[in-house]
Amino acid sequence: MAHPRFTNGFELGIGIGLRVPHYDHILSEKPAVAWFEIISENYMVDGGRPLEVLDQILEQYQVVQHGVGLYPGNHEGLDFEHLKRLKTLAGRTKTPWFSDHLCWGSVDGTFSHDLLPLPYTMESARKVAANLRIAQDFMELPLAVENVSSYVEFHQSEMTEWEFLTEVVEMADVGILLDVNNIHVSSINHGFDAMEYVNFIPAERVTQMHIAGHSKYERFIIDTHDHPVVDPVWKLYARAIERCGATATLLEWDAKIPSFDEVWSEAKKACNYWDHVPQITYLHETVA
Amino acid sequence: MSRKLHIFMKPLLEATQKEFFTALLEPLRGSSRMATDFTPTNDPHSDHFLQVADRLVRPGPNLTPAEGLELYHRQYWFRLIDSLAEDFPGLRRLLGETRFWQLIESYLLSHPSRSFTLRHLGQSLPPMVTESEGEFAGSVAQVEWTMMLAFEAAQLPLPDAVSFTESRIQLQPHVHILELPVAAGKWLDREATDILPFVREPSLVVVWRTHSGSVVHRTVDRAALPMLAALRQGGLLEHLLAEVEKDLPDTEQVFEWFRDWQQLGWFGVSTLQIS
Repeated sequence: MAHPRFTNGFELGIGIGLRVPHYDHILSEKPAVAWFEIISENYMVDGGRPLEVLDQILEQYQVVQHGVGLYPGNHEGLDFEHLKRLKTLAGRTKTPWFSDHLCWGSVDGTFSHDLLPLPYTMESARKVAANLRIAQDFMELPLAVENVSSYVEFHQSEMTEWEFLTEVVEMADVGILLDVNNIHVSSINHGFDAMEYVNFIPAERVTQMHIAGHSKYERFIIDTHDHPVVDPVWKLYARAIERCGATATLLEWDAKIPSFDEVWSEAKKACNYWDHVPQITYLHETVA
Repeated sequence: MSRKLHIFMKPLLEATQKEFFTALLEPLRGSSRMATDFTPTNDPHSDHFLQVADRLVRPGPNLTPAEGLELYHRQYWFRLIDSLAEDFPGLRRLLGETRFWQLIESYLLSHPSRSFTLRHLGQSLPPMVTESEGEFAGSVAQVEWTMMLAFEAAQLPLPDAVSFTESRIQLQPHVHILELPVAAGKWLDREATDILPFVREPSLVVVWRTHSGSVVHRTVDRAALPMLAALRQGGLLEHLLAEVEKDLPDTEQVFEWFRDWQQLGWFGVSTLQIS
């Protein structure tokens, strides 16, 4: 289990992403979900339905913020306007920690809206770690950084991805959001042993895990979050839980989103891998 | 330190990111382009794109450097064009598929995203459309862009009977008033194809967010503009009405508007209250 300083002392079980097609079901049926993850940028608005729904969800559920726009790998450094918006939202959600990706995504104020891969060099590691420390200090909340799926590696890389991730989180002293689907996707695309990745990372820093589906093509895999979780990913998840203990786990299903029940049913399969770890309340108490 | 030595020691990360990004901004080519509605071309990737791939990207077990870079390139474009297509369906219907996609490609090449959110991607599209396609298309784009602004705008507390008389009242931040040279709102409403019946009619279009959170627009009587402008400024209701009295039609019409706008949720209690 992660050290409490990375989880703010919270022990969360299985959660799913809060998605628009499920709003009505959640508000009317009040399903027994331990927690919901929101994409922070979707709620960085001044008003409107997203915030109205979020406020209703917050009355009954724990919400954790997950971002896609921090870009700690940007050579230019962090966007403090973005951080201010993030912190305002955190005040509303009371998120126990916040997370974002080990990536970069903009140059000179132009945005890619993607999670772009980094060269695994000490220069990159130092830059990312510095940005993560700043972000964590600014937010006054534990930060977990997520490994991304990638489709390129750089000539200049000096180490493996898992060595890079470990270097970054230890320099920055932040947590890890371990996405085992992303590990699988990248392992196929780049030809490395995914289990070596899972076995290497510092288990005590794993604040949260992601599981998800992907799309398989003839010569590569794309991280599309639009399918059930496949067996190789469950295998990685099982090993990750074995190493890390009971860890907040989130199923990502972001495209071709099926019914709430189907998504929740898929997420609950994660419970099958918790048998040999200390039990925590991994299903929310039934909400009246 | 000499200038030459400084350039030699330029951090690799900055150079890598700038170079990688230039490749993303290049036009779509090949099968990625064929998967869109962009005008087909046999042009291959530029030498620059291929050079960036070879210079930066390590060959993978299954993909060449160019193929790997292509995956990011197409994701970049697909994400942006999907976003604009979703935000400007009326403009798409007006221009037709060929012209719409030519415009979108041209727009994205000259106006890459400058915001953390794709919601703002179309910000500069209306003036570009006006310039290239004329004021009718520009007005349609303006209405659709304004709908995005209304979607995420703040909401003030709704006035009750007491606050209507004792507090500063103003239009909700999500209520936008558009003075347009053509009846673009009516054209959008009727899902028309022919613009001729709508071109000679300047119009006043109000875009707002309903109580349920959806965003709608309505063409209103242009005579209501003075009152709407006064409400935009905000103030005590009786003062606002007194200010615009000379510009308003008969009292009954004003009250009818007022009742209608109140039901639609256009009014809010101003954050600037009387001291």
